[in-house]
Amino acid sequence: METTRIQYNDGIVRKFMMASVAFGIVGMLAGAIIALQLAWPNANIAPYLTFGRLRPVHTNAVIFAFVGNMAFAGIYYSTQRLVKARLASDLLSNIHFWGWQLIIVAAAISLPLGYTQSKEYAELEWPIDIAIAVIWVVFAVNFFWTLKNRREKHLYVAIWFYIATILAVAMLHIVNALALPVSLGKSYSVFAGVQDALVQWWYGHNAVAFVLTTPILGIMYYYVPKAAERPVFSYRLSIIHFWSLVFIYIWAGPHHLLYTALPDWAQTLGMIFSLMLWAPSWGGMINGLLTLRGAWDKLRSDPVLKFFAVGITFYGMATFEGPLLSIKSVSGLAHYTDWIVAHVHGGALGWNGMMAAGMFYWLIPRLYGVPLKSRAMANFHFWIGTLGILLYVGALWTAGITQGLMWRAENEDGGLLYASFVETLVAILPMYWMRLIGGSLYLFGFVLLAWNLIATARSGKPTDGEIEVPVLPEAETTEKDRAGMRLLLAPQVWTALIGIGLIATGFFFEAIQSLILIIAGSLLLLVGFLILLIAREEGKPTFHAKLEGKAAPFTILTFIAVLIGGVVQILPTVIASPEAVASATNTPYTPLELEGRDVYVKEGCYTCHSQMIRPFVWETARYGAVSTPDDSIFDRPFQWGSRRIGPDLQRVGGRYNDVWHYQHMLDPREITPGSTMPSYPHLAKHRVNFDRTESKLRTMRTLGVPYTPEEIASAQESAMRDAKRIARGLEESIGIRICEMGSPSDDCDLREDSELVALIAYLQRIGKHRSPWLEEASAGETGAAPAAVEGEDAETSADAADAAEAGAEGDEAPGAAEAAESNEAAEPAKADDAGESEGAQEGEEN
Amino acid sequence: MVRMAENFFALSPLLSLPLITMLLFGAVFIAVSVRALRAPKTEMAALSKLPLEEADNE
Repeated sequence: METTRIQYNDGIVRKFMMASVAFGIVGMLAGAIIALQLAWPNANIAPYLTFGRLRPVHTNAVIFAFVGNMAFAGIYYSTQRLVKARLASDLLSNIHFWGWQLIIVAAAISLPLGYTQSKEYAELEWPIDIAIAVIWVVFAVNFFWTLKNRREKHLYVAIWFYIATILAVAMLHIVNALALPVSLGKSYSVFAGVQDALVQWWYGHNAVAFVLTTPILGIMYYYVPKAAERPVFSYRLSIIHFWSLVFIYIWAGPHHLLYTALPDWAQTLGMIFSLMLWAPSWGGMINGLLTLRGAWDKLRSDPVLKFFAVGITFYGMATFEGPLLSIKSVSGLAHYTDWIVAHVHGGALGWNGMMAAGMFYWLIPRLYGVPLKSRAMANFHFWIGTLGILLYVGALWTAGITQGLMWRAENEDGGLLYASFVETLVAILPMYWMRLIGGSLYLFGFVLLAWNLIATARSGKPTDGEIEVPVLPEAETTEKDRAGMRLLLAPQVWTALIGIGLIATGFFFEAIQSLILIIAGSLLLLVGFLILLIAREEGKPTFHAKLEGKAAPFTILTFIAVLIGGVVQILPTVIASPEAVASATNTPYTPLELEGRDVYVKEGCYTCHSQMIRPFVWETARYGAVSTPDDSIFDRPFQWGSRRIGPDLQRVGGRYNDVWHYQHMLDPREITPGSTMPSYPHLAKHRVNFDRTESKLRTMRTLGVPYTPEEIASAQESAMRDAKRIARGLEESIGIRICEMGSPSDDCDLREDSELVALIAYLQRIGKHRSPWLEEASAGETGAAPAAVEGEDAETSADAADAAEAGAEGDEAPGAAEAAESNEAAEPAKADDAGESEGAQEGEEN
Repeated sequence: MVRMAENFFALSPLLSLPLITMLLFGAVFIAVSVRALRAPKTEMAALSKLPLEEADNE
């Protein structure tokens, strides 16, 4: 047989590896800074570096820059060797590398500047989203082209995981990023409220699945056997692991939305599938760990195996904890607390970080042709990293459970034991310091890794793997491609499709027809399966065995597996959307409220404040009436949040007067001692560009928000009028100096056209179904502050909440709203106790 | 049986979605498990050794 010698493209592996290490350190450093900001708010040193803006920098850097680059390095190195072919195109490889790094740099610049869609792990604005899609396609083309050129017929299980990653990430990213641009740096999601939440967490959860899990599992299946010098424990188990994981993972997203306004069926679906994930995840973990059987002695000396063993152990731990947290009653306690953050970091630091370190220490000698510079330092890195994780996770478990219990604790009278939210925050601050120490230790370990890798690289020279492979005749490869595609028409595929189709159709019919279709479909599946089993010829490969050797049909079937979950979960709410808008009692935001909402989004307020009150007594007592789908029906993007470092804001509208908000934004600790919220004095001077307000409303109307042409035409005028009114009200109340609309001078305390004014307008609207200004106008009243609106308020803002919220930000009581109505309050009113303020509020509403 | 099904779906016709999903998953899971467990030992052993094949200069 004619052979040829090929050289692998390991240069691209070296580049991705070094980029991963560099951005890993940057991402972890950003993590350490925001950890410090949570423990010590004075660390919010500049407008562009507040917690709300830096937190997405941290998450995006770690997920896409650190783990993303690591995965690309691992995939490119192992794929070439598993298929015995050089990467198909050096040009595409380089476009992939440099394109991805440019995206990361664009993210690192745009996020601190406030360009964000505010969807977690998908914050980047639409031009960058398009760039991600393009570069991902480049990666996919390069990868599948390489598979086409392969000399090894069989696709090893690691390749399956890579295929699933490429397909699922493309689908998730494109769907979740769908948005209509207003300008180069601003867009509105095509989804709203409940829909948007469902799509976002379908994406968000599967970003964990298909960016942080499946590629790393593929890497595990390649690198752990290499490092242990023995094959994977059970190849059979790996097959089951792959299909069940890919099939189940895609459904589990709604477990992020338990007890929210999401329909119950979707919540239950998310919970059940999350519980089912236990099995494949642990199957994979056991398979990985047992691959080390017989090599346990090497763990003593080999840092690579140490990292892998601990990484896989953390995978097992995180995938035990994930389903546990998805049980509704556990979620009731853990959601919005640091327990979730601990869980995420168990996965990110323990699984991703340790697997990355193990892989880098294994790769570097092979990529530079010299032994690792310092095994001792690698071992030290292992211990300091492990200690760092334990401190981090232990601290946040404690913090999360403590705060969760404090939120629901009752006093003897059945009221909230810790009515003041800030009390529950101050209680966990020591844990925040311990988290900072743990995270910093982990970061230090990665600095050591960087030094070790660079020192090793400098002592050797770039070395590319080479291999002698047979030359494949062109005709043979073409015939193989055809044979592969014919597999899609195999009886197994259409029997399964018809059977499943019959069953699915059955559910949309009534009673007897439904039963007939379901039974027919089930019978077809069963009989077809039995016939195929009996007809199977000994010695001939089965359908799945053939499929494992064919990249194209394998890819298509994998795509179908991940697609089904998305379509069935998302489609019902998308279809129901126009009807929901038509029957909504909510009304669209006024132009100024919309501008204020954009400021809220830009500052990343959702990183600390939820807008989702769950149906628990302790939540309604603290925050107000339970959130409904109607509350967020015009919210593009939704702002339900995922963590409460501050109180929920769903019913904050009308609870405090404008003066309270003004002073609170300037210095939160002046109003609420102990608060860790950053100060936002700069917002008082930053201008809102009202020239764009009209196009914002027009974009919203295109998306289905019922703004009238008249409202759109007068948007700018309306926003400026409302802004002036709020600013003048503040001037009258507390005598601050105001800069007039459009004035070139900033020599004042507050600009009329400032972001702070717009933000106050939005804060006063949250949770209300009609703008307080419109209420006021219709009542023929004038005044500075939109106070509690009768009727509407009774409906949307629970009576009891106001008493509780007295403590939500210190001891202030909603009596402030009362004072605000008469425009007299310079200071938030105080209440001696919750009962008093509750009574006051009731009186006001009555 | 029909009445039982009617009662079941009376709360929400959308309950069919998780059920379809469960069935789908069950079918795939069983098929894959059968394939995995019935595969010849020699084939599985050969496949699992794929990563251990080194490049010539490694």
